[in-house]
Amino acid sequence: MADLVKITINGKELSVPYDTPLIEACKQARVHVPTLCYNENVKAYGVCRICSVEVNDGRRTRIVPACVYTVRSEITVETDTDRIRRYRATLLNLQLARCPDEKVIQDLAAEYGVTEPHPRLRKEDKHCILCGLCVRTCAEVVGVSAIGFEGRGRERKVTPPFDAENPICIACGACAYVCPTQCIEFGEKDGKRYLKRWHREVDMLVCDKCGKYWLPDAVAYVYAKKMGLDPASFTTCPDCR
Amino acid sequence: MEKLSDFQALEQYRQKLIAARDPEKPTITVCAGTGCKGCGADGVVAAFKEELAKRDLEGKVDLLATGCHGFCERGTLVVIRPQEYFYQLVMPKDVPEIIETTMINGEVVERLLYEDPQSGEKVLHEKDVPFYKYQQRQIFAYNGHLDPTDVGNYIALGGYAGLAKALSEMKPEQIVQDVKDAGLRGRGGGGFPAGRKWETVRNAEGDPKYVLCNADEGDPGAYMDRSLLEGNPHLVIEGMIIGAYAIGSNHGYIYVRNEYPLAVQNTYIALDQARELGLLGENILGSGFSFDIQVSRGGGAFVCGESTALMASLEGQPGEPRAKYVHTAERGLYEKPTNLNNVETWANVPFIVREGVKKYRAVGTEGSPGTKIFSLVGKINNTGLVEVPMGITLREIVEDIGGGIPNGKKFKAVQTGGPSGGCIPAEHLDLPVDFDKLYEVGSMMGSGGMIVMDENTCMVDIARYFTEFLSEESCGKCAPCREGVAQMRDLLTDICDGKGQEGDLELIEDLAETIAATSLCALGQTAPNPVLTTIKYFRDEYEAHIKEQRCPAGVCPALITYRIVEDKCTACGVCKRVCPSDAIEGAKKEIHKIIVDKCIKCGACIEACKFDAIVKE
Repeated sequence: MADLVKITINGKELSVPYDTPLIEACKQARVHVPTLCYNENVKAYGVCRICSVEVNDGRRTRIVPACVYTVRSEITVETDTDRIRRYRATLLNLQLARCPDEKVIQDLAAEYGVTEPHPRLRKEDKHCILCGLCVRTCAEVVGVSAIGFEGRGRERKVTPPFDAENPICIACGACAYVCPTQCIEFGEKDGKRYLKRWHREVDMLVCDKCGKYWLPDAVAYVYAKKMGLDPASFTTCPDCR
Repeated sequence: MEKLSDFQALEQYRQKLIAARDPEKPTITVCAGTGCKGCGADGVVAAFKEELAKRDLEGKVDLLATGCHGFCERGTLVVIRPQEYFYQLVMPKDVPEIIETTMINGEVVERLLYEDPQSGEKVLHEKDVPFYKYQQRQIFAYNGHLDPTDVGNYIALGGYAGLAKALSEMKPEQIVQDVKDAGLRGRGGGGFPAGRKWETVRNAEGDPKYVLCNADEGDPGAYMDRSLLEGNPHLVIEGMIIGAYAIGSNHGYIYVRNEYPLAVQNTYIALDQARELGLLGENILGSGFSFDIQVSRGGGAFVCGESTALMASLEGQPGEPRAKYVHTAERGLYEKPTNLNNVETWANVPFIVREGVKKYRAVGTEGSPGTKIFSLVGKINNTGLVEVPMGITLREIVEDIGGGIPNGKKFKAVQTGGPSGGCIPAEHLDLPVDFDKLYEVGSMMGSGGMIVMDENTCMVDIARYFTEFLSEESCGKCAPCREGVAQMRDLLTDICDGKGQEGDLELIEDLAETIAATSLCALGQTAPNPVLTTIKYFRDEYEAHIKEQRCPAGVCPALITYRIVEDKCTACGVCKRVCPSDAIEGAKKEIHKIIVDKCIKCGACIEACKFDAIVKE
C-alpha cells in the first residue's frame, strides 16, 4: 500500500495514495473539473489546459493542469476560483476561434460565459482541437501507432505518415470514438470500412453463414497474430457463431 | 599523443609544453571564430601562411588561428604578441604590410589600429581598446590565446588543472558544496542554482545518471555559447567531467545545434583529443573514475533548448516538452536522474574548482556571483561578445563597452533575455544587471542576448517580430501557446498595419495573462514578455498606432508616407533614379515629387538623397 497524502480540494479533506493524478483525486472528492484532452485509459498529455486549477503547497500558489500534476505532498487545491474561471474562459475563447462549429466546445465555452469567439480573434474553421486522444489511443490501447503529429505551432496536425494511407491502420475506429469533437469520419460502405481523415479503406470480412459484413479484415489479421490464432478462424459473425 | 596515466603525468606534460614554448616568440593570432570567418578570416590566415613562407619566416613566427575574440564589429581581428598590438578590419591584402612593417621592422601599421571615436586617438594595445578595457574576462580569458583544435594549447594555459585537483584532492560532495557556496547560477536562462541541481541529481535514486550540456542556443542575436564551444571546447568538457564526478555520472551528452558547424567540428576534435590523453573514458588520469561524452546534433528547433524537449530530442522523440512537476533531476533522460546545464555554466566550473569559492565570489553580486557573457547587438557601435561582472549597469555596457548608439541617435531600449525577455527603457539604464534585477523590471537574463534599440525602432514592430518568432517556434503541443501566441501575433500585425482597434491592448493583456499562467513550458509561459514590457513602457506608442494610425518611430510601412521637402530639394534627380517603383516625378531643375500611391516605402530615396530633402511622416 502506497503512502497516503492528505489534501484539501475546495475545502473538502481527503487522503489519496502518493503520486495520484490530481484529477483522479478531484473525482474522488466529487469535484468536477472540465477537460478536453483527458481520458483515464491513456497517458495524461496535459495540452488543452482546461483542467488548470490552483494548487498551494504551503509555499506558493501555482496554476497546474490537474491531469498531469500528481499528488506528492500535502496541498490545498481550488478548482473554480475567479482566476481559474477567467483562464478557462480565455482558453475556450481560443478553442472557439479555432473550431467555431464544434458543439462540445460551444457547450463548454457557454458554461464560462463565452457564446461567441472574441470578434478580434482570427477565426478558423477547424474541427480538430489537437487533444491527441486519437494518437494516444492508437498507440497505447490499440498498440498500432498508425497516426501521429506533424508540423509545429499552428501548422500542427494529426496525420498518418506523409498524410497518405497507412497500411498498418486496422480501421478499428477507436480513434473516431475517443475523439471529443467527433471530427474523424468513419463508416462502412460497399463492403469497405473507411476512415476518411486518414485516407484509409479496408475490406470487410463476410460472415460465412449470414453473408453480412462484420469485421475489417485488418482487425482479424492483427487479432489473430496477437492471440496466436489462425486468421481463417474469423469466419462467422457474433450472431451466427 | 600518449595516454596520461595519472595526475603527475598531466603536470609533466604541461611543463613540457610550457618549456617548448618561448613566450617572447613573435606570434600572430588571427580570430577565426564564425563572425570573423564571415569577414574573411580564412583568407587572412591563408595569406599569413603564404607570406610567412615567402619571407622564410616559418618557424620564426608562430601563426595561431583562434576562436572568437568578441569584437565582431571589427573583424577580422589580429593580435601580434608579445607586443599585444591590436589590428582590426584586417583583409588578406593587408597581410604583406603587417609582415613587412611589424614582424620584420618591428613597427606599427597605424592604419589598422582602432581609433577611439571619442578622443580620435589610435589605440595600440588590445587591452586599452574601450570595448575590452571595461570587460572582465574570466571565462573568455583564453579564447584569443589558443587554437581550439589543439588540446596542448589548453593544457599549457593551465587547462585540466581543475579536473586534476577535483579528482585527486576533492570528494564529490565537496565539489557540490563548493559549487553551491560559489553561488553559480545556470547561465541558460532561469538562473537556477547549479549546485542545488547537482545535489538533487547526486542524491536522486536511479542508475545510470546523466550529465548533459545544452548547446542549443537559439535566441536571435545570441551566440556566446557558440563562441565558447568553437573557441575553447576543452573548458566546457573539463567542466562537464568535474560535474559528472561530483554528481556520480559516467555518461554525458553535448546537445548542440547542427547550424553551428564549427562548434560541432571543434567539439568532436576536442573530445577525441581528450580521450587520447585519458582525460575522458575509462579510469580518467588513473583516478578510477570513468566518464565519456557523446555529441548529439539538434535540428535547430528553438523549443529544444527547453530541458524536457531537449531530452525528448536526445532520445530520438519529437522535440516537444512535457510537464515537469517531477523534475528532470529525478526523472530526466530515459527517465533517469539527469543534470542539464548550458555551455557557459559548465565553462564556469573549472574556475571555481581551480581558484576556489572565495575568488569566484569576489566578482559579481551577492545573489549572482561571477561574470556573464552578453552578446551585444543591434543599434550599437561595438557589436560583439562582452564578458562583464554581474552587477554592472546597463549604461556601462551600452555606453562604455558598446560605445553608444551609431550616428548620434538616441538610445530607446535594450531587449534582454532573447525572445522571451523584455524591453528595458532608458529610465532603467542605471539598473545593475543580474538575474534578479532584470526580473524585477519585467525582463530576464535569458542566455545573455542584448539587443540595443535606438529612437528609430518601433516598439510595436519589435513586439510583433518577437511574437512572430515565438509563434513560429511554438511546438504546438499545448493550446494556449499554439493558439494564443498566434492570435497575439495577428493582433500586433493588425496594429502595425494600422488596423488596430480600441480594446486590442486589453485583449492582448488578457491573452498574455492566460498564456503565461497556463502554458506547458517556459516558451509559452514567457512568450508574452516582449509584448507586455513594450505595452508597459511604451503604451503611448501603441496608442499612436491604434488611435491616430501613426507610427512615431517611422517604421511601420502602412503608417508612414514619404515626402520631399521643397526648400531642400535641388532637383538633382538622384532619388528619381534609385526609386524602384517609378514613384518620383520631376523634370530637370524642377522640384521633385513623390506619388504616394506608387511609393512602396522602401527608403531607397532617403538613403540616396544627399540634401536630407526627403522625410518620413
